[in-house]
Amino acid sequence: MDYLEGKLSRFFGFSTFRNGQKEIITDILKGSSVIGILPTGSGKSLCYQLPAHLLDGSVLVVSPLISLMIDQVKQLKATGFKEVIAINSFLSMSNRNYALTNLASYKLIYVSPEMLQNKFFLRYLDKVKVSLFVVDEAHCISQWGHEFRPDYLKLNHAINQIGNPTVLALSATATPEVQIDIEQQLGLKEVKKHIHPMDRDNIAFMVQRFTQYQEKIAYVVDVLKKFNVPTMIYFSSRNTTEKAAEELSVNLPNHRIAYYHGGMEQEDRILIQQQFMNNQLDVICCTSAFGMGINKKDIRLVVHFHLPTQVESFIQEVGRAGRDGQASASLVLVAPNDDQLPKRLIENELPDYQTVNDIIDFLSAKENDNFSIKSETKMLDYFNLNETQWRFLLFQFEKHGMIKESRIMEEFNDWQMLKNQLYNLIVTRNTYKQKKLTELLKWADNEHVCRRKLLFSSFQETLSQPLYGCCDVCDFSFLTWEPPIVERNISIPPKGWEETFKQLMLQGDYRED
Amino acid sequence: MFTLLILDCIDKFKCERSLSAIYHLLTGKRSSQTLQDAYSYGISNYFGIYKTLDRIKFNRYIDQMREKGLFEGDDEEASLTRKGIELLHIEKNKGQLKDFNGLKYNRMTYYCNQRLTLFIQTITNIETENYSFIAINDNKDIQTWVKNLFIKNKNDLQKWLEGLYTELYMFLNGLDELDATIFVDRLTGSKNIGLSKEQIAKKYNLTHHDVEIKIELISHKLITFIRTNKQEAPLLSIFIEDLIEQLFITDSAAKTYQLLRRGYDNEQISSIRHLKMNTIHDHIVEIAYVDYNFDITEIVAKEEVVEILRSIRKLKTRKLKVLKENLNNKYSFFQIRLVLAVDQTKTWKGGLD
Repeated sequence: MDYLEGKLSRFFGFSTFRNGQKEIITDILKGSSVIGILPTGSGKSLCYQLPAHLLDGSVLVVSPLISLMIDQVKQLKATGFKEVIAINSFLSMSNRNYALTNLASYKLIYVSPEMLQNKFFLRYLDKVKVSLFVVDEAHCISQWGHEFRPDYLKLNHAINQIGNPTVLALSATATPEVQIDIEQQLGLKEVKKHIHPMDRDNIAFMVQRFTQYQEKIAYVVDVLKKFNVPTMIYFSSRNTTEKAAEELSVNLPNHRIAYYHGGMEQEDRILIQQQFMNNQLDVICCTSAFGMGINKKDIRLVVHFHLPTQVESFIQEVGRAGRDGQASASLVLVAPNDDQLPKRLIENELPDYQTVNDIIDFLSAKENDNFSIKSETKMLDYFNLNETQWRFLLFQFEKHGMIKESRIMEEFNDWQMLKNQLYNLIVTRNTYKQKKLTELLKWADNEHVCRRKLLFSSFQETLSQPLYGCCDVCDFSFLTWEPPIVERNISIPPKGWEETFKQLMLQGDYRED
Repeated sequence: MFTLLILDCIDKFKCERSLSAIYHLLTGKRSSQTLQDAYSYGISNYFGIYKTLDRIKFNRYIDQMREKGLFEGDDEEASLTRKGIELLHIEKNKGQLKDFNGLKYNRMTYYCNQRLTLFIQTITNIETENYSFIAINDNKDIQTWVKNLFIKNKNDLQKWLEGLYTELYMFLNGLDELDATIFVDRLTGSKNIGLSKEQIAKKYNLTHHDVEIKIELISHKLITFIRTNKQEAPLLSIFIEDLIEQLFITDSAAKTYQLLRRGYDNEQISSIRHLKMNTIHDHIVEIAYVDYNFDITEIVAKEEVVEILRSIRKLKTRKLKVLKENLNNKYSFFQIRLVLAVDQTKTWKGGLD
């Protein structure tokens, strides 16, 4: 066992690295910046968690999703790694103050990208020796990426301010064009690239066409009747998630089914998520809010009742299946007009041109009314914007020199030009996204070319040999599918609360000795 | 249950308050108007018992009740119909809601519940040697509290499991079968994650609103149980000890209580806090209402308590002046008020002779 394996075993209890991890870690320890594209579920986070133990100083991880950060911190603490912290707005005031004043004592610090624009935070960060700067979900930096975040574009600046530490940019999905974007936007020089194929040899693909909703439900019922395996079903709206969960429960009385979406109370969200992890649920109907940070190894089937808005998201969601390497499948259900909702989602991501026009007129008429720029809620209400749209605008206003440090610049007068530029930008971006959506819809429409080949062709040149079937065009069918089925006790006789309680509290016959 | 709750509120408001006032009462809006409503119409026990109630869902529910003919009138002036009155007063519905203690408990239930749930999850997992489990609650305050309790007692887990089991069993045994079952279903142990509210609703065929209210009511019953059985439930008491202070309506009374517990007497507290003796007496009366284990015999001797109690029983009145005169002005208002307090809370254990 060499040095790195020894450390791996000591800190994480694994004896060997998974594909790609060791090479990335070796480069980082040598001080080279790295772009790492590793498929979901391949242990990306270990690429910085292990260096956090080994490097002098702290590792700073920028992550776009607060829930993801919190989950990771929880998991690390559960394994005994205590010097970790996620700095975010959910921390209570006192916890936050404590964490900030003791920032240098943490080996691993998770922050949101917004946090890196906070001057107070940067002042605290000044006292910390950042030995590695990690950009998680690095595709968010690309305007072409499926989860573009304007705040990511400012990371370059933060990296400079911190004194240009080694950078590790990680993503599960990045087309070659997005990879170039990551490299340029982060200002990386002499970067080492570790690009790993995204296809997974244990997941088979299947697309089925229907004329309406009820047929989809009936099909899912049939499949699940045959295979009672851990299953995730993705929907694009909260309402349908609830409705379908109810209908499936009625039709599948032996399955334990629940739904999960971002509109639920936090307490219930944790319970449902943990039940699924704990195999108390067989099927979870969810929106894309579920799954971030989910580390369940034996998900056998990922159903897309609705498709997401682009190939990258789709690959990421499918990638939650079969992390244990066993036979798994992706099932996509398509019906006419299914494209309407994603189309609307895309249109809503950016403000429409009329709104942009109105806002610029409003701001130019009140050039010195800096209050309106600062009062986010007022602007959201007044112009009926969502938060993402407003952030996008603020970023553009800053980029074009109209505002600086939340103040409208007095000398700015290119209002018309700004309008034109934004108009062009919005048109280009929307067209691009519609193109991405069409790409995914086309993929699902295709009936003649191998689905695997078509899906991954823009990411990689070769495909690995599928282990348990390829796709419905080539050879896959549910008739011959043989996923591992875990026997479970379906008919546990109902016990009264007294017996259940005794068991839960480990009393009487249930005592642990 | 939710229907009954709203009917009871409409009934007690006697056409004098709007339906919005019911919403503010249930969600525990801390405005003087809402607090005054709670006191003057005798429904302070419902204060803040349904904090997550959504305004739109509330309005929708109210409309449905009106359509069913349970009450009539507009939002400003609603009164029960005959059908509504009957529903409110039929035998099986009586007393269902009487154990709420909203004004006092509404800020305690969440903490009490979540501490207990997380602690049980923790000790059952550690006991079964599962050291990496994901906490069912991610509130930092609660996690810190549970962690501290755990660290103090980590060598005594067997004793804690057994003790909590016994104490909770005693509590659950006094509940309806359904309430006890729901309480147990919500708990998370080493093998099973507790059920969400939605799942409880489905399993027992209850509405979402009823589940919310039921779970809250069970928590109120639990806190009352702990407070009245401090000797029998020493472990459970630990979960609410520091929360008891929050029971006080005024923060000022809470401060006096703190000092009292640290062993200062009335005069000392009065001088430390620069407050008049009368104010301290007000606080002590408040404390007697809240702390069921507060011993008043240091202020009123046992025989004196008995004498005052007899007088209360005989005259069937709670009017201070009448009582004072009947007792030949032997006792101060302060002493009589204290006895009234223990009489009201039924915590006098000294008998009547």
